[in-house]
Amino acid sequence: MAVALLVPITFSMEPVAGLIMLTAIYTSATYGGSIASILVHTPGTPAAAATALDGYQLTKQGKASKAIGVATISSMIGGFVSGLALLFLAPPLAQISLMFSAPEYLMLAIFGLTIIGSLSAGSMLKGLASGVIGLLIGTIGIDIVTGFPRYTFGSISLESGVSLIPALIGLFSLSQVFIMLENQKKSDKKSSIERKIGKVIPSFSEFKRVFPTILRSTGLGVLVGTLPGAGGDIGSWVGYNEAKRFSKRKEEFGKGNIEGVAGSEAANNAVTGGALIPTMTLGIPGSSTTAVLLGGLMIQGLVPGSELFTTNGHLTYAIIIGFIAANVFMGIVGLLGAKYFVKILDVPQNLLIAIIITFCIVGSFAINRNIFDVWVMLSFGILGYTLRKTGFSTAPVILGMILGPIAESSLGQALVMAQGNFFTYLFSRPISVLFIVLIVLTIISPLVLRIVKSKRKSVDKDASA
Amino acid sequence: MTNIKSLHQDVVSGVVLLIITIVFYTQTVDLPERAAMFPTFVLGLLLFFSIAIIIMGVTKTIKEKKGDPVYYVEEEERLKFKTIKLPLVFLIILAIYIVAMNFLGFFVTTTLLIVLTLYILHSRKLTTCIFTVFGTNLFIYFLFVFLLNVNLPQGIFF
Repeated sequence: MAVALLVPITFSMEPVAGLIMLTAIYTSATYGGSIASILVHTPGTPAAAATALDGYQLTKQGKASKAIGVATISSMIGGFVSGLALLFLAPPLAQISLMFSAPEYLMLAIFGLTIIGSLSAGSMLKGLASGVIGLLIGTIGIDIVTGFPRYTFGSISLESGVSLIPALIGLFSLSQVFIMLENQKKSDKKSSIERKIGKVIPSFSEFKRVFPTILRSTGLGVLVGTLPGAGGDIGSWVGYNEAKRFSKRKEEFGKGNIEGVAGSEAANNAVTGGALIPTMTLGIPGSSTTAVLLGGLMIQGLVPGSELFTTNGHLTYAIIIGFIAANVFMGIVGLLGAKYFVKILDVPQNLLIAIIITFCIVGSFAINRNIFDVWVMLSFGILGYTLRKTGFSTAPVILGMILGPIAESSLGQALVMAQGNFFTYLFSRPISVLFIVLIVLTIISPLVLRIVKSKRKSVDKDASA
Repeated sequence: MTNIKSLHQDVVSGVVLLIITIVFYTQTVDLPERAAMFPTFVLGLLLFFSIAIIIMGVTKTIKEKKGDPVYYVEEEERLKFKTIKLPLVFLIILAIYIVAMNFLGFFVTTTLLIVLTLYILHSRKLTTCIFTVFGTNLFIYFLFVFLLNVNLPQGIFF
């Protein structure tokens, strides 16, 4: 959103300066989203939603600074490496994604959806149901193929679908306000959150613990980012999920594990550089934000493609190196500022409530400049609050809303391409087979792990008996 | 006999989901086949989940009756009117606020909203109130109106 709002300012700037500013804001906003996620459980960007899971738990335990420290270092490494990837891998990686077609996108979307199942902290059934609710919301609006309005109930504003940002603000921020409100009388004026500042920079042993996660998430993030249509939101969930799968302390996930913060933060910043690869080489934006960046690029008269790396190479490489430097500066500012960011927790909760409500309203209005989105935000606030109070989760709803339309359009195209033999067609494509394997693994691995765990428990019991 | 209050709220959630499924299905019937394909599939999934959740809720109800503990995860809790009273009040205030914004303009209604919020939440110190109102409004004006050229709704005053 920040990128979208700032594009007009770059019109009058020099191409290199303007574009470095946009890419720098892109990566910093992705990182900045984590701060609000960690401190007040209101992700500033969809990509930061996964960070909220463990980050907010850490804040509750009085380890907010540590969470921000880990998030900053992870984001910096993720962004920095993705910048290098952009610099060196842009041409060869663009070749792989050229091979992507409808079946692969379909598989990518299904892969994203299966992640939902393993994400829900409480009931897997309710987690999956929340995802399906998201899918259903994603179908609202005019059907692209037939041009028929679906589930608009006569409203013209709904014909273009439910806007993602207002829905996100409602589901996460406003629902959080409602939850803060119900505790107002119980906890008087003091919030129940501990406000210890603590150390920002993680200890060496902690760093050693999260480092493999950072590297893994960075790799995954760059890869996901390169795939058009899969943005930081999907990247951070994949990173979080894999961090959980590989962790030795799985049971701590969702209860405040720094590996969870590192897993999603390294991934979502790694996505930024990755997403710039197809944007700059093919003109296919990897996310909605890079779509805006693409606009910013074209406004300056720079056309994506090989020309960008040859004729306009001096501009392009300056922008890329600026982007890499921006990631380093972001890390430094983040580490120095972490202590002050945490201060936001010192603001009395009732003031915070008043201010967050105002920003929910102005934020959902400003994105499309219409009042209907404010109503959308309010409705999703009610939805999010109800879901959270009844044991459902809000994150899968957003994931469903993002992936639903991708799944639908690529399913339609894949069916046409397959000419009848849908499954044989899927299995004849190596990349889609790879995705099928990943999907099956994601579904089976929690079940297998549960069986292994229960067996181990019974073995332990036998041993102790 | 079982009355509604002794039912576990999962039963209610499941039934609500089921009703949503049915309402959306009635809207799907009139769609062309191609446009209805994916939504029908999604509604099928939702039907499955709503029934599964109802069954889960019934099992929990039986468990509760036997006196076995039923666990609530994270923010989930047995909903009581007392808990949701203040959120409900704010829901109404926000609805009125959005409607009023069209007549009075963004900054006037926002000022009223902040004052009202702080009053309800027992922050009745005049200095805090003035500080928050001016701080928030100035920040929004500077960022959105001055820097980003967003035309916030204007009312009869300004």
